[in-house]
Amino acid sequence: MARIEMAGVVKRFGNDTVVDGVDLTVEEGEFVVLLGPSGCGKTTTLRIVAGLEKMTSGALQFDGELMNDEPPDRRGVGMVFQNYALYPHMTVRDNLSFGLQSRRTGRRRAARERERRQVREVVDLLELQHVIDHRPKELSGGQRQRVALGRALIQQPRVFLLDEPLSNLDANLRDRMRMELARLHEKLPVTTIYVTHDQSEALTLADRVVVMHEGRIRQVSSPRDIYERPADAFVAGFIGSPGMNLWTLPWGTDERGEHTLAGGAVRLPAPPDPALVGDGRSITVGIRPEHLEVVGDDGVVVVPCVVDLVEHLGSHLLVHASLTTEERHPVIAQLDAATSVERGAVVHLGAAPERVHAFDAETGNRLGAFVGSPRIAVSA
Amino acid sequence: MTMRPMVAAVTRSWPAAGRRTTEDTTTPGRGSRGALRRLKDRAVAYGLLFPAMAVFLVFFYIPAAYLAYIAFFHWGVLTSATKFVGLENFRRLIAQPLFLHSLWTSLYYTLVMIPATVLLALGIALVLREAVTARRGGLWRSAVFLPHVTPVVATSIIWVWIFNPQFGLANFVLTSLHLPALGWLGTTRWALPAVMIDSLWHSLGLYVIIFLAGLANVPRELVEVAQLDGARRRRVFRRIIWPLLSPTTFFVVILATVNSWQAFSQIYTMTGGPHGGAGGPAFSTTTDALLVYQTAFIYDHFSLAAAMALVLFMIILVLTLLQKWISNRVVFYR
Repeated sequence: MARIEMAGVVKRFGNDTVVDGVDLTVEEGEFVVLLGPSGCGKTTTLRIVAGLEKMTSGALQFDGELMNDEPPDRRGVGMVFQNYALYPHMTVRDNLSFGLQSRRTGRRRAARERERRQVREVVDLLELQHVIDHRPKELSGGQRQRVALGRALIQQPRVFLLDEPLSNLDANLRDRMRMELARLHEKLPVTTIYVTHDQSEALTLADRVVVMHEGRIRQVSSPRDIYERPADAFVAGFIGSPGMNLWTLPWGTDERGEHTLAGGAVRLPAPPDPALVGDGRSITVGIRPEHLEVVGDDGVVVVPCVVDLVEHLGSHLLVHASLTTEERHPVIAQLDAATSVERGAVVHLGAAPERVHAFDAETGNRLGAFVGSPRIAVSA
Repeated sequence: MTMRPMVAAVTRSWPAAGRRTTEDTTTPGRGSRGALRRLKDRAVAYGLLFPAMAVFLVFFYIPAAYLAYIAFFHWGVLTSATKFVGLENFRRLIAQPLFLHSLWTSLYYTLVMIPATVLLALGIALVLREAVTARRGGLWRSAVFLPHVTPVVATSIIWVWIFNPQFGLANFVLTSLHLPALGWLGTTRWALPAVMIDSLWHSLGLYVIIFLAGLANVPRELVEVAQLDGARRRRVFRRIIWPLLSPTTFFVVILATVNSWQAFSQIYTMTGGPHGGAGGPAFSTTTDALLVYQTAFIYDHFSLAAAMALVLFMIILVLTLLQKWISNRVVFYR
């Protein structure tokens, strides 16, 4: 097990900066998930840790030992690739023992005996007894996945790297393998970096989630914090399904002295950081669809809007609506299945003040939530 | 017919609707209409194949069959005295030392050419893949492939100059390296190797391209995983790349075998050609293919040449089948 430190890691391909100054420390035994849309640099970051990609600048240390120029096989990393990358011409047993044989030292007979024991242990751990003499072609997706895990684990790596390991599985199997991975990490707490674009994997598996976008880290936090206190508007919009409603509108006060956006399109309590929000200046306000509910027009937070479309999803309704602003900013609300809303109707949506997030309109950085404010309302 | 199990399954799971389906497919009107359509489809398919098949038939299959036929006759272009002689031609072949010698020469040629082709082509392909940047890659690939598109006869004449004992480039290189100059095409020992060098130069480009395609099909992740697994370059090549490349290698071996047994133009051109005496000195470059040509068109023994060609065909067939048999054990198809 190792503590991983990345400092100012940059990777350029020609003029393309794919990883743009990543600073990240992964503690010993920690499970960290790199999360972001495709092309955000998460896989490249992982490959830099593995040594499969050379960084343009920056430093990578395992337990304080500089790894920049260390070849992949001497870093003590085990990696699982998205498409498993099993050796197609070898049986499961040979796939598992290939690495052990590559590193074989000492007396041949003793080494063989040791390898056999290690293969047996991994096979037992991952329940691969029945397929040990099969080739990858004859295995199911889940079995291939387990062989790939086993091949990485059998070397007893200091660092365990997984690159979208579940994305080739169907939905049911994916849920099951996710649980198995969580259980596996509990049994063998190896320092793990896990790359995915699937937020449910990230939020369920991770000790800490690293959200990346355009080669930069946008936030490093616990899954709960990522969801509840997104560091910027990008993270807010990316996490959640559907993502957070975000509206960038001018701030103002109406004739009654109440705070509003766009002259009444959204009614809110006092801003979290008055210094940054003045009359006429824009602010980005975000509310998650699942935190919106139908309220009277005298609520603390009131968002009046016109319903465009109602989707019945069994357990709940997904309501697509628009603000009463000139641009008709879209609003998505996840409402109780029993709510009666009709297309074309005007509804007043509201949320608890602490569920309403404020971001800087220019930088997108978090300003805070409207906690403690007496009253938040959004109206259309 | 293949529909029946499916129909049966439907019948089991959905009795009422299933029964109707069964009746429909077995009514005679529908069945014959289906047969008619199949017949039409087939007619169209053969119609489309016909032009190509006709060319093949006239210029390949019919002459080949006719060749097999005259191998059992006494037959001449200018004589009408065609006479069935049974295995007489084959008996004469076996009795002729030159024929056995030519078989041996062809075998020697093939046995050198196959490993040389595989090693050099694979080596060049590996170097091209590793060392050449993507932007210049096309240029290098073209440069390697270029010799293959030149006419064999024309470039073989250039190789005759290169192998000229007094003024040739080959001996200039050897003497510059303080090695003894060779007589090349003038000696029984070095004439065939000289031809082999020409043949390799001419054919390698094609095999390099085939190997490059094969290498491109070896997934990059497998090589990376093997590296992470602690395998050094040689082990990665031996245990991962080489086995996954085996279908390509097998294809190259078959192609090189057939091309080597059929090698003619370069030998003919380099060892005497139109001035007569090809295959020398002292029959050292007389391969089977060359002997067939000489027997038929120089000595006018057409039926004897036909028998030789038939033997050559059988040898290539047996070799190919043998290779196929071996390949089932060593070639890994994904």
